[in-house]
Amino acid sequence: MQDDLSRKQDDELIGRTQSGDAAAFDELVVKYSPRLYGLVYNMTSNHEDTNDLMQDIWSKAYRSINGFRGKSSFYTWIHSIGVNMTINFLKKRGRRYTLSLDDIDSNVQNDKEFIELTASSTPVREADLSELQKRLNEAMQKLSHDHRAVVTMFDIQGMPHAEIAKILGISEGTVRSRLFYAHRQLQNFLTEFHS
Amino acid sequence: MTDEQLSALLRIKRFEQPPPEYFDGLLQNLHRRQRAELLRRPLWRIAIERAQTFFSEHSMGHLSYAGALASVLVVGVTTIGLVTSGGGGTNSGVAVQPGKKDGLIAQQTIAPSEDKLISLQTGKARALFDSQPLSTARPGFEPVGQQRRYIIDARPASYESPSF
Repeated sequence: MQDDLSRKQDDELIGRTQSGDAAAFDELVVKYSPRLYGLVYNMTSNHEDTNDLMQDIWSKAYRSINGFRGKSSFYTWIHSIGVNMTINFLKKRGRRYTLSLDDIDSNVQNDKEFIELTASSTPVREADLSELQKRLNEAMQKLSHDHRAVVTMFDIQGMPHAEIAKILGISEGTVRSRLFYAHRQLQNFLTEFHS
Repeated sequence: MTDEQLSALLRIKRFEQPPPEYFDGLLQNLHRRQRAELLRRPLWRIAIERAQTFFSEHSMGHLSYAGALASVLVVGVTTIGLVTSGGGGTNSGVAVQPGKKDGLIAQQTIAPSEDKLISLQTGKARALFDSQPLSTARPGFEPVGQQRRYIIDARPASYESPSF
């Protein structure tokens, strides 16, 4: 997931942060916020909650950075904090949520996946894609927090199983089984929509 | 819906990102929040940090060590003083039995009356002690010098049952 150069840069930035250079921490925030945002946003499905959580996560990371010993990459470490805090937040929030996942970036029109999906002769093309996205988001919210976390990291963010296992502190086998179950559930929800 | 279709649909979700300006704002909000957290810290922690900063800025580290050493010395001397003054009674060889009448027993043992001391110095008493060494003395023990020392408290009075 991360090349050696990127990891070396992270190690340097972490070292500077631990020495009291707050600007180095800002660089880490700038570097990892977009991916972290994607993770949290796809788990909460709400912009305001994501914004609050992002600040909570980075604040916690800043307070804990002196305890970071480099046993895992910073990428894994910050994602672990992010996933755990988001799951705790979702447990507290319960079923009270408002979907705001309808602001797809305009860049999506140029995405290869998007073009393929809309150009192919599949049932998906016939359906209104934005409506399908909305249904997918609703289906995602019906998954358990743990399953949603795995789907977000694997399918949306493209992380390998091993990385997800490290972040969640579970075995790769558990990651695979959660993914299998989550996919089946999502397919069932979306098939209902098509039928 | 096939697995591939589902995966493709999910992959589109990675584009659900806020505009790039959002991340600049996030950093600013984070800085604001960190400053607010600094102000919300308890007063004692702020005071300690300011003291540390003061000492580090003025190269007064050795003075802080000296202060700490002085504090330790004061505490040590006080403790030794308390132990010495409070432990005088216990070092006299008097074992004190617990109970209500302990104070009275201890007083009687520690502060014998002048009359009793004088009575031990009489010729009769001397003759008695010279002829019959104390049973508690070790065999072969010879007192040094002219003045003999009689270990009266070798058998502490407090071991005897009170007669009152």
